[in-house]
Amino acid sequence: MTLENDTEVGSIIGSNSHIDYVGEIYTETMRESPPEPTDFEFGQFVYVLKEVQGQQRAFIGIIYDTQLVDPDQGRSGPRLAQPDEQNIFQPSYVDEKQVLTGIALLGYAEVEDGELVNPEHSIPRWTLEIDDVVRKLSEEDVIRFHEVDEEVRLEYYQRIVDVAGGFAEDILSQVLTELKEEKPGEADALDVIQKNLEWQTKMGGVE
Amino acid sequence: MVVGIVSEPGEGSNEFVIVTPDDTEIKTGEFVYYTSDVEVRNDDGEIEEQEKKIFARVTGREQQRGFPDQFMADPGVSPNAVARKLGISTDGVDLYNITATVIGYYDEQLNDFTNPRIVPEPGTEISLASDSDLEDYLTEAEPEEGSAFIGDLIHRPPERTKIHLPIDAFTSTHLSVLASTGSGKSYTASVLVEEMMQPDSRAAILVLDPHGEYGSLDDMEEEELSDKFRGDDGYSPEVQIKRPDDIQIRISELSLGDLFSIIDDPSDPQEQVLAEAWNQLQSEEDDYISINNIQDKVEEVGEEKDLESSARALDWRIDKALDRDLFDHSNHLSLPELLEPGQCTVLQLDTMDLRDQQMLVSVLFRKINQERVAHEKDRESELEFPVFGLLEEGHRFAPADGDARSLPVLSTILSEGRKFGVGIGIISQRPSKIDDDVLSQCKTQIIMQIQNPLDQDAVKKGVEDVGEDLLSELPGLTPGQAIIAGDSVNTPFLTRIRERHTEHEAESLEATKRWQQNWKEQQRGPEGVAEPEDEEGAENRDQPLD
Ligand SMILES: Nc1ncnc2c1ncn2[C@@H]1O[C@H](COP(=O)(O)OP(=O)(O)O)[C@@H](O)[C@H]1O
Ligand SMILES: [Mg+2]
Repeated sequence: MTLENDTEVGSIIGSNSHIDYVGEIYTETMRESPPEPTDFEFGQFVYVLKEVQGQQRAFIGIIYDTQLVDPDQGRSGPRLAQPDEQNIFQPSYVDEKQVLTGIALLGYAEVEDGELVNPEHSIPRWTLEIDDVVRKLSEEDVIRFHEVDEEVRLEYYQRIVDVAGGFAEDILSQVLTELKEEKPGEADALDVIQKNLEWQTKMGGVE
Repeated sequence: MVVGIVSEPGEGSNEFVIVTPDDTEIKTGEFVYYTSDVEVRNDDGEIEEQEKKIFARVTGREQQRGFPDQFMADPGVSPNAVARKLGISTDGVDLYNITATVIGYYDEQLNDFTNPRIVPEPGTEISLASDSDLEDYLTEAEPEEGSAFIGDLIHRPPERTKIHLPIDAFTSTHLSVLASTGSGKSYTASVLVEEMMQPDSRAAILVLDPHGEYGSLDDMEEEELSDKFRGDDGYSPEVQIKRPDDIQIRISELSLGDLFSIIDDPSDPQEQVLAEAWNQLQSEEDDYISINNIQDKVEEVGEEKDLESSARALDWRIDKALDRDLFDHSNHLSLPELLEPGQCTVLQLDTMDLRDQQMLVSVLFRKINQERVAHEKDRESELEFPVFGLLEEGHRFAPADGDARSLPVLSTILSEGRKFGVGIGIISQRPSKIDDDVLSQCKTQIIMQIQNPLDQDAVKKGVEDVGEDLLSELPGLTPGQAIIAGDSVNTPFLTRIRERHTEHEAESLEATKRWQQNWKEQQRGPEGVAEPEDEEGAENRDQPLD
């Protein structure tokens, strides 16, 4: 199984910062077989393949938020009167319902023979671009992305907290639960992190 | 080596705060320094600026940054492992705030520290004081020149530093060794005795040893230790051990106060008669007074004063008080025999009643003091040289409640001894039970582990220049570790007392060893399971051995 076979879930249409991107999920009008809802669920790891400095890399992120956009609701003024004019004045305006996703960029890895190698959890120096294709990262590759120096790591932890705000706990908890299952040898240390996470977010609300 | 940077002034006027990434070097009680220009008087008496090392003592340590407690939620998981998973670098995470108190720069003319009364600017580099600076500046004592090598500094690797105390200083202004039982008081005192008996000192020492644990000091006479104790000129220390049987008080050497203190509950008229009789006997200038002499004189005085019944009532009281082995009309401990330069005399009092011990100290030290005063006033004297007396269980001889015959004379010596060359070393595990004045007159203090809060308070009160920071270390000291403070040192510090050359006779018997030994002896007894070869001699068992 190689990365190329992974489901394409959407494309980048904008960003709020260097590590906080907006993706648009493909619909039936864009793709013959659009992604299933399970392909872009909350907490789904995704990636964008890019060649940088002659090296194929996967930029890995996670879906931390979704927004539904209904163009009909957003339009000002009488709607039925001049629909065509609207299109003229707002050429980028697509008269279609959209699912937008917030993607927090967590790191990157080199891609060799369709495999992730040398995962890095630091902020990539390079940026994603508009129209970059976002793919679903397989569960197997999710694990691989977390194996740094022969142990499970979540060095991007604080970045998710910063970007995802109130949703961070749920996302991280989901990730930690999965990693604990897949890597029982490291479950104890991951458990300390998970408990700490819970405690901080829950007590943070109380205090 | 720079170990930290000054971040801000501290709470006290002499304090400052250092930030350091590494806590291994700098512990409470450690010495650091920074350099600064200070105005000093030069050899020509002019004021000039000189760059000096300003020394400071570390008084506290607080973690400013480190792993959160939550990382330690699972004892089986190291916080490092958790941090690594979260991409937190595990080196240099810890940052410490260290508080330090300025001691000052070493003034070569004063031979002491002078405090420049300014704290370093934020950003000033702080270094660890060198071993040799500490050896030179903490005390004024040159090796082999009347100094006592007592050990090394706790925070430095073993034997890297050599700390010497000036023997002249602590013998002239008195010494206290204060600590809970088992912390190393007797051990430390023995180290001091060893040092004082070496050729560069040759002291005249008297040890009051209520537990009989100083007997092994006579190892100093042994050939094996000759490299430590023998001088090139043939000097070799002498050690005399005296057991209670060897110890007697000559009746004529008692004072009236001594006498009153051992007479059973005398009435006023009885005291009146006894006082008169005693004064008359003493004025007859007879060195020998027997019990009969007193009784006869009492009878005589009773008749004169028309107090015959009181005199009769005194008769048996005098018998009861004085007709004991401790008192004799002629035998006594003669000072020239007890005290001589190069001689250490140990009075083992372990079978002696406490009241008798106090009486003995009272009589002995009064005599010592009288002879020393006589010497200093150019009168004929048995003691032409200073002496040093070491008192174990000091609180028994100078108790806070005043209930000891020996207290008045010790108070006198401690407040005046400096003038007359009588030095006292008070050893005690109950500083709170020692007379306040006596304790505060001991100007050099060796303080070891103390748990009891009352005793800690007593030490705080009695010891002037030891900071709270050092005193807070007291409960945590281990046997052999001590704070040394007072007049013999330029600033207090923490030491590890060196090992003894002579053997240490621990006070507490090892019960399990005794039991085993006794059990085995029992087995060899008549009812025991005898070995076959023992059986043959069985019929001779009751015959005296020759
Ligand atoms: N400086 C030292 N070096 C090594 N051991 C020591 C030292 N001081 C004390 N000790 C140990 O501690 C024990 C108790 O010391 P000791 O002087 O008898 O206590 P104290 O007189 O305070 O009751 C000693 O038997 C010895 O084993
Ligand atoms: Mg002792």
